[in-house]
Amino acid sequence: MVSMTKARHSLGLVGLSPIECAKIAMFIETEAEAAGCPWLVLHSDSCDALIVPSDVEFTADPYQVLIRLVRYNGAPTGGLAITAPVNAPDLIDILSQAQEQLGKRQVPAQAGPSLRVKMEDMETVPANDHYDARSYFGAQASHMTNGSAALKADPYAYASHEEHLSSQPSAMATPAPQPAFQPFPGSQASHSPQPAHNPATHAGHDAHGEFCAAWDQIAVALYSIVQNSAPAVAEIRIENLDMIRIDFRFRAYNSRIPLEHVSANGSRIAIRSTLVEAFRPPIVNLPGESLDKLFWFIGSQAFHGMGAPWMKPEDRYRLRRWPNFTELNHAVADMRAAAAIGNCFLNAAELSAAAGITPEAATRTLNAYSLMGLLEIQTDRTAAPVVFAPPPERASGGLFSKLRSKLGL
Amino acid sequence: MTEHVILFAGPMGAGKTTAIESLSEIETIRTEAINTDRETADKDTTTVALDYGEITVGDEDKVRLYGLPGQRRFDFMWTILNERAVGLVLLVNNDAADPIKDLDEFLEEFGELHEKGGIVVCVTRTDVAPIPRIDKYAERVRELMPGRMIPVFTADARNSDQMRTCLMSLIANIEMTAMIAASEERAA
Ligand SMILES: Nc1nc2c(ncn2[C@@H]2O[C@H](COP(=O)(O)OP(=O)(O)OP(=O)(O)O)[C@@H](O)[C@H]2O)c(=O)[nH]1
Ligand SMILES: [Mg+2]
Repeated sequence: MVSMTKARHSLGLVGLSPIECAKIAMFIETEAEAAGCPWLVLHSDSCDALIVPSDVEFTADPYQVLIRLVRYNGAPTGGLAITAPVNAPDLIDILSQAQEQLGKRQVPAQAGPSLRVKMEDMETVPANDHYDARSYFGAQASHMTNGSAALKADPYAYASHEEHLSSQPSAMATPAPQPAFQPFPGSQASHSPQPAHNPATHAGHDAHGEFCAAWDQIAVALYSIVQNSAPAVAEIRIENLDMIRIDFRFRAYNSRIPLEHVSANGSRIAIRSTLVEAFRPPIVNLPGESLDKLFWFIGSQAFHGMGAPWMKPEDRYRLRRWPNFTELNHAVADMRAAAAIGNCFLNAAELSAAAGITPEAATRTLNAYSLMGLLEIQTDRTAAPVVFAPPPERASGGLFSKLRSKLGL
Repeated sequence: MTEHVILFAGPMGAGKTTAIESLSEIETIRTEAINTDRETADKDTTTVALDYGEITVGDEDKVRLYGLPGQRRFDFMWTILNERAVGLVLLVNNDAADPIKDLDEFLEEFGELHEKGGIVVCVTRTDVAPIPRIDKYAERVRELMPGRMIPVFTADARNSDQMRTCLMSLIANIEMTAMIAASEERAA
């Protein structure tokens, strides 16, 4: 099994000043440009490693490595620490120590980026309960600040490819509106987890390995931003061009070209995200396109048909609401899948059986729904699975199947 | 021949007549009269009895599409058809004065159809009025009918593809709920 993104860790900056954040992001981007720096900087406290000022009270989760920033006159702390003002060699040094610690923790074999997201251990929790950034207007998390995710592929994972993804050391500090950005009118089509008539367009195949890996990282970064729930904007840059702009406050995005033509293939790709105050003007031309469409596309492209790193194979999921299929490029099989997982908790294998789709398609569907914030989770492993009867093959005599052939869908 | 009666309900001007025209294989039967209530919906005509369209599948199944008049003084039609229906397409135009209140009223009136089959909510005219957004409808549906999964879509009643998505999702949901109920019965 190829794990394209195995050496990636996420670094969360908590409670730092904007200047400190900008410096750290810049150092890491520069490092990423020059060597293989496997860190993804995010303004989230759910990252593998966190940099937190030593005078801020903070308890990290057991899986996290905590790095303390000791400011002037601050008392030295036990554990990993770095002194202000931060310089690049110190930062890189402390990060390699953090990486070492993370390496020793031996995450149980799981593919994909090692970004993890905190989940409450209740019987049923929304997978993404802080989803709607809009309802958090004004409730800006004060300890969070600007972040940028410099994407740099693990050089080992890409050993066979000449070109690497690399970051753009540029700043997107102020999300000021740039009226010059005129997205092309996007086509209606986005991607669907179900390869309806044309399996060739179904991404995620090895020939497009780099393409997928780029979406993996974008998916992880976007998921993290969404989890953070503070009003944010983001920009996906490809070859120095701001290709996709996202304003999470309005759940909208603009893309220069239709999504399925966006090629992240072996090109320089970077995603930057910034927190913004609610009153700032949007960075997309409203109404823009629905963020769900972007998440549906990215979620179904990413992770090579394997579960997203934040999903647990043992968990069961149920839809909180149906996706708005009329604005997504969907196949009829997607409707049956939604009907199944809309009515009971299912894991990928069960969804595959219930909806009559391949396990890979079921996994892609779950990844996409989860990124869209549509799933609630059942963590109770003892709950009896739903056995569908009659089996879906036999159900093909139903009105749905008949209409499907009749209408040529 | 098995017949499947699907009702189209919703306030005046929501797009019921238009939706049936987009879906029907036959020339639809319409009962339009001059609209005297221009305040509620600014259009020339309004349905007074009902609309009818159909889709025949092989020689076994016929899907009958009935559109109910939006104006309240024609309420008596609702009860008659309600009994035969297995599914409801509830259309709400987003540019109404208070579309969420419309949703409330129609769900109260037709909510029981969920137990007999299924319901799908289609929010129309979102190009005319972009808000409220679709999550507001989904939220309200969850509040009013907790524990039931009712698909909510934005749709343009003039767009056949979108109306097919709504209809097919409704049928997929009806069949899946029936299948789960059957499995649970067998398990019990
Ligand atoms: N712009 C726009 N127009 C729409 C949309 N959906 C429907 N319409 C138009 O809105 C009007 C709806 O009218 P009808 O289909 O007569 O509505 P109805 O629900 O049958 O109304 P009554 O019979 O009076 O209860 C028509 O002119 C449609 O073409 C939409 O999504 N956008
Ligand atoms: Mg009418």
